Amino acid sequence: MEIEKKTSGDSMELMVPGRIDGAAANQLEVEVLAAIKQGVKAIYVNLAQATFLCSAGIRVLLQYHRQMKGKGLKLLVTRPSPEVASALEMTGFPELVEP
Amino acid sequence: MTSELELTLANQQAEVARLQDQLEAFARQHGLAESALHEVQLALEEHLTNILSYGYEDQREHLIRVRIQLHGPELLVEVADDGRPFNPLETPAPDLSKPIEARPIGGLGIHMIRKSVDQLKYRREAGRNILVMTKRI
Repeated sequence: MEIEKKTSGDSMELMVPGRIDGAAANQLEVEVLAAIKQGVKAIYVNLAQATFLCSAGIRVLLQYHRQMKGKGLKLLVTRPSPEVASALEMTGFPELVEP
Repeated sequence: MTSELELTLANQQAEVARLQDQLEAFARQHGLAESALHEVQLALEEHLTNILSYGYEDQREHLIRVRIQLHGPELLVEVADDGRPFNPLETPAPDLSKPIEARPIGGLGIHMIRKSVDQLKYRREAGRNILVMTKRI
């Protein structure tokens, strides 16, 4: 699985397609950590092409959402596919999605 | 009409991806709706991850048998593992009412399995955990 990255100004968009299983969640964490190290102010995780989001993926999103928020920064999910929206809804984390 | 996909997986994460690839091919072949397929894939991912992470007390190779059957309007997914006895149906539901900052990060997988399929049945038989998930398609 390929995570595509787009930087614009202080923010970075990560596009994660396909199955967000345990391995993809680890890959996403590596990219999020790299973006944080680069000093971006906002990370947008575009999940428009994700077919499902497992709990390990939610854990990565939640952990770095909290960490970024604590520093006055942002990590949010953008354009969730219906399956991703449903996974965030059923676990009670719709706040992770960009309003 | 009944169609079946049966696979024996070793207890490694890469084997779960192999199962997911085959399940996608099976679903395409039988014209299953994408949304139902993705919900079943999520439930399988969570259940197998739990088995791989918490099921075994030794470092040996273990085999997990997965049988997927299409029975008219239902997809039956049976997973049999020889890990420690574990009935996921006995796990309490997480408290989703707490604010996002106060919630524990773990314990979501079984909740997601429950929400993704229509019926769950568990039994312990001949030293194996057998979980049967039924999904209306």
